[in-house]
Amino acid sequence: MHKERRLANAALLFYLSLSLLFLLLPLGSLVVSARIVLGYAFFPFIESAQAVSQRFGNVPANVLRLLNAEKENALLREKLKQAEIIESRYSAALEENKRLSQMAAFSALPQWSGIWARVIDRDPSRWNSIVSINKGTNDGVAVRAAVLGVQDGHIGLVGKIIETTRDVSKVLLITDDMSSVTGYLKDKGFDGLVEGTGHEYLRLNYMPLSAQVEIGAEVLTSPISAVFPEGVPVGRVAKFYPREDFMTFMSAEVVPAIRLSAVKEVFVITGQDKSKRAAQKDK
Amino acid sequence: MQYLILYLLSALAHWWCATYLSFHGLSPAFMLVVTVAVSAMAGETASYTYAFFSGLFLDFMGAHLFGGYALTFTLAARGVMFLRKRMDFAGVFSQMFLTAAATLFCILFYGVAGLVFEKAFVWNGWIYFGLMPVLNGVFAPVLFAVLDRCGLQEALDEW
Repeated sequence: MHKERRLANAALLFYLSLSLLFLLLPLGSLVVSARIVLGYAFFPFIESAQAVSQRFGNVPANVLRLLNAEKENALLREKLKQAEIIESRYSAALEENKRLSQMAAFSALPQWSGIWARVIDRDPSRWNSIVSINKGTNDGVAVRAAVLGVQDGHIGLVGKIIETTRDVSKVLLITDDMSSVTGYLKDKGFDGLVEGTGHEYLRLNYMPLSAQVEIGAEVLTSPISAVFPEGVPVGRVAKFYPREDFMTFMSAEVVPAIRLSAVKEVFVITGQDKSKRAAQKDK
Repeated sequence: MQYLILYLLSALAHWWCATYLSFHGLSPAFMLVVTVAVSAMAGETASYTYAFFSGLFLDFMGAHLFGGYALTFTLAARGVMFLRKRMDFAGVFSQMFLTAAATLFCILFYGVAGLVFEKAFVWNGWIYFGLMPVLNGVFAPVLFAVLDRCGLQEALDEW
C-alpha cells in the first residue's frame, strides 16, 4: 500500500515537475518540433475522424434530401399524370370544338328545324348499322325522323330514327343492310334506290340503262322520299357494277357523303322543312 | 491498452465536441470531464498519468502556454483524489458538482498560469466562466455512467 502510495506521489511530482519545466524552460523550438512530431500522430487521426464525420454527417441531410426527392418525385409523377389527362382532354376538346364549329357553321344556315345530339353508343358487332344518341322524345325526337351529319363542313345523310325513349334514341344508319333511301343523281334527273350493304359503302340500284352517269356524281335524297328531306347529300358514285344480261337497270357503288363509322354528333330533324313551311304560309 | 484506447477516444470526442457541438465557442470540455471521471474512479497513478497526458494533448493542440493544461489537469486530478476520500461520487449531483468545481478550478488556475508565465491572465469572458462549469457538469453524469458501464474502474485498476 505504501509502495503504491509512494509511486502515486512520485508520479504526481514527476508530472508536475515536467509541466513546470515545459512552462519555464525556453522550449519554443523544441515544442514546435515535438508538436510537429506529435502532429504526425494526431492529425491523421483527427483528419480521418473528420473525414468519417463529414461522410456520416452528411448522411442525415442526404437521406432527408433523398426522402424529399422521393416525395417530390411522387408529386411530379402525379402532376405529370394529371397533365397527361388534361392534355388528352384538351385534344378531345379541340377535336370537339372543331366539329362543333363546323356544325355551328352548318346551323348558321338552318334549312331544317331540329336538334343536335351526341352519339353515345355504337354496337361493335354492327358498327355500320345502328348508333344510339342522347336525345329522345323529351327533346322532340320522333320515330322515322331523318338524321343528318356534318363532316369537313359538308352535310350528309346519316340515317333515321327507329326507336326512341325519353332521353335516348336509336338511329338506323344508311349503311345498314335493312336501310334504303330514295335518291336521285344530281343534274341527271332520275331516281334510284340507295341501299345499305352492311359495310361502309352503299349500293345505288334501279338506274335506267340509258343513264349517262360518271364516277363522282353526287347522289341526293329524292323529293319523293317520304322520310328524308329533299336534297340532302347521300354520297358519290364510286364505281359501276357490271350489268348482267337479265338486268333491266344499272347499279353503282356509292361512298357515303360523310364517314358514318366516325360520326360523333348528328342533327335530328324534328320539324318540317322550313322552306316548305314558308311556302305553306304563303299559300 | 484500455488506457490508450480511452485516451484516443477522449481526444477524438473532445475534438468532435469542439468542432460540431460548439455553440458561441462553448462546447463540453471532454478531456477535462473524462479526466475528472477517471480520477474519481481509477487509481492515483493512473489518474495522474491520464490527467497529465490529457492536458498535454490540449497543450499540443493550443498555441500558448505549453504545459499549462498538463499542470492544471494534473493538479485537478490531485484535487479530485483529495475530494474522493471525503465524498461519494456515485450520485449524479455529486458528479455534476465535482466536474463543475474542477472546471472552475481549471479556468482560474490556467488564467493564473497565464498571468505568471505569459504576463497575461487567460480570460475567455464571463459567459465562458459562468456556463462552462454548468455545461461540463450537465455532461458529466453521462460520461461517468458510460465509463462505469464500460468497466473502466476495473480496467484501470488492473492497469
